[in-house]
Amino acid sequence: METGTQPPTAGTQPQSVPSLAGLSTQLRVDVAGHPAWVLVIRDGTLSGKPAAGAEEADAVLKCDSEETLAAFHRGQLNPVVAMLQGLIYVEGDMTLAIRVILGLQAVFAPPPASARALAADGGARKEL
Amino acid sequence: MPVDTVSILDGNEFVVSDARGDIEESPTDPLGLFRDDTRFLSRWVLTINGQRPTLLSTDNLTYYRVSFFLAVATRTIYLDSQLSVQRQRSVGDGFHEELSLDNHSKQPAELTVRLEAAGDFADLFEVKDDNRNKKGQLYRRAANGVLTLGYRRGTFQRETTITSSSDAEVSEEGLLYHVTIPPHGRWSTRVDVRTVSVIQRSDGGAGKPRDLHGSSKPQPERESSLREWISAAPTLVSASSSLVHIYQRSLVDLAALRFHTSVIPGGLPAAGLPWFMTIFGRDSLITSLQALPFIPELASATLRAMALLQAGVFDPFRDEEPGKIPHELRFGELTAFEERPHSPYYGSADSTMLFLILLDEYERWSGDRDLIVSLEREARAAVDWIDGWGDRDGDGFVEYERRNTETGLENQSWKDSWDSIAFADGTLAPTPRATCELQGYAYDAKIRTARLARLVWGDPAWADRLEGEAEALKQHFNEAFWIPERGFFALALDGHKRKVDSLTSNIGHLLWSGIADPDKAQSCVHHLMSDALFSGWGVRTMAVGEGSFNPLGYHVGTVWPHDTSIVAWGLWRYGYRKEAAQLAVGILEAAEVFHHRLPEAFAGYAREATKYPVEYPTACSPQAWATGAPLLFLRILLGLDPHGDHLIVDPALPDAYGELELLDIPGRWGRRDAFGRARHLP
Repeated sequence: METGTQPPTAGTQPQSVPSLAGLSTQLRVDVAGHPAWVLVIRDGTLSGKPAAGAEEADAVLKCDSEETLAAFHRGQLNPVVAMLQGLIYVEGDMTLAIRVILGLQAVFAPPPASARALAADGGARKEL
Repeated sequence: MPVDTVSILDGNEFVVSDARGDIEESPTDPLGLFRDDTRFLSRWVLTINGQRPTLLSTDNLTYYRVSFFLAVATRTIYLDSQLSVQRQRSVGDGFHEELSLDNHSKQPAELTVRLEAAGDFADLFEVKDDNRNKKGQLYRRAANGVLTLGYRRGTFQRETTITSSSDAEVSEEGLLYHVTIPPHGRWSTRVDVRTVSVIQRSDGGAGKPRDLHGSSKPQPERESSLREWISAAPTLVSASSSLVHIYQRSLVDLAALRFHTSVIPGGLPAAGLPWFMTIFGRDSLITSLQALPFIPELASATLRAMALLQAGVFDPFRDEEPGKIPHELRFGELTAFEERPHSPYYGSADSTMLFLILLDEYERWSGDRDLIVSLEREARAAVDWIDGWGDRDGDGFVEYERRNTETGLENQSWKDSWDSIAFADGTLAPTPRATCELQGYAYDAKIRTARLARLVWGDPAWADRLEGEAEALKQHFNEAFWIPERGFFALALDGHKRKVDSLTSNIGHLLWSGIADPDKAQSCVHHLMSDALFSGWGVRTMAVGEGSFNPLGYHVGTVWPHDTSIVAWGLWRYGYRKEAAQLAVGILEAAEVFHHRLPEAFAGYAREATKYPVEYPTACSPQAWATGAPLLFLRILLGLDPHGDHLIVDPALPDAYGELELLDIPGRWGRRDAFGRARHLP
């Protein structure tokens, strides 16, 4: 089943993710109990496609709702917090899934180059 | 008033009770069944005919199992007790208790046996701060022979279930048994207390128990696992039974502190009972360094875990910056709802350098190139952090200042209490703070990373660059931090680049890293072995006479065994073998007084004043890096160091230890033995 939430690279060219360098795997994302997306990683290059049913995957990331997935996509949901609250959980290769999830964080919320770059940019964007 | 407590543990899961086995919530002692930084059981009290049994003895059989021997007595237990009570408890997937009652009289015994139970589901931070303000709902349910204690806050749900092997009246307050025991007969039952992290199923179905980091092994498997763990470690042969006992205690405690996750194969050391039973970057890395010649598996598990959790984003709430190695990971309610930043928290400025140092030291010992090859990207990101995010103002030094000003740590070096970085007059140093040992670690990390770049990653140009940067840092550091009028290195440069002039143990870490010029090192050694810093047991964190000195101050006067072990390693590195041995003997003699288990810290009173080391009130025990200290001291005393595919043995033993043998030391050479005997040390 397709959902309204877009996967990280839906509709775009495959994207190179430095933190996933050397990794080749397939991760399925289920939303509210239904297969929604498949993330394909080939040597650190990420692409996404709608899931055609319960496709085989090395790990399945189960999200409770589209809102959770969207919040993660916007870089507003910390994956560990989501796991502790029971909003997401993983079946299959946990190490792999966590590496992918944490790696995707940098795609959704690209960091500044350094502390000095941050300061030159007018200070922290998210300082408390 | 604090009570005598008994703890059993298995990684992240542990039970702390009083000496009778009872658990009663207390503002002074963290009693309870804890898992995932949550107290699943805060009350567990046994009464028989309304009476609390009297303690006879407690037997800690092993780290995960304990027996409590009790009696129901009227006046004095020896005269009037007709009923013995034994509680055998083991932890793992909750805890399991075998309760046995023996009737010693000639008459049948009619008894009402009650186990009261309650769970407050407090986050460990709430227990530590004695501040509970639960935002969710507690609930209890008794049905079908199961007592369920639970807590729910939105989708966050944790439960404790309690069942009994024999018929019990199960109510919301606990279990009740009506028992008749024949003359000289016995009655027993088994009670299972299980912890459940309930994850709501994403399709809206019933809750499903989930394990956040793998379940405990069954007891028989754990017993064989412990045997294998100990037999895999080198064998220590010594005429000092105390030293052998300390060594064995360290091995068992490190087994107990193994933190298993479903994410990383093997176990990495959790930091310490009761407050720090979780992954701590700094603690796990240093413990793994200490234990490398004995239990190299800790290092590989730690490196993998740290690499997996290495920061990839910029997040001020978590003090997270790309490339940084985590400080602490927690699983409790306050973390889940971002009232605390530990998901993970990245507020340590040294973990990233320590990661690189361990990476190299691990390769030197193990020769495990595959792991090193697999972590090249993470190593490069760590070096980038040192140069970019770690050096905020571009002055060439690593400094820290928290971005999370509400719940972040003010001090992000190993002395992370609020008052640890102070001038000699006691004034706190303004931030950002560049503590001296951070520079030493950065220097060492670059030298070591250069070695790996040349040897493993095939990048000699990068290796040359790193070595050049390290040399420049060393020169700059020896100029900027040296206090010529006092003859030691400043504790830190403060936010105005002033030298923070207190004399502290940190200067010993500079020896370990190799950043100190030899002439300056000699002066530092003089200070480290002076009465102001060396208490006779170990090196004080801050010297007597400094403005902030307090022998009971957490980081401003107490002795930390792991700190002294690193100082001794530094002395050894610069050739001060006699002084290194002197520190080893001091701490190991303290361990003897502490029943062979070193605590996290103890008071910094002079040895001649107290004759025995004085406990620090809230010290964790076992604490991973205190547990690792005896192992590092053994390495230092025997002078163990890899050289290519060979193990160098260059002992410098004091008279106290006569002869030492360490057999079957694992490493890239297979297994080797080391032998040393005492001789006069110049």
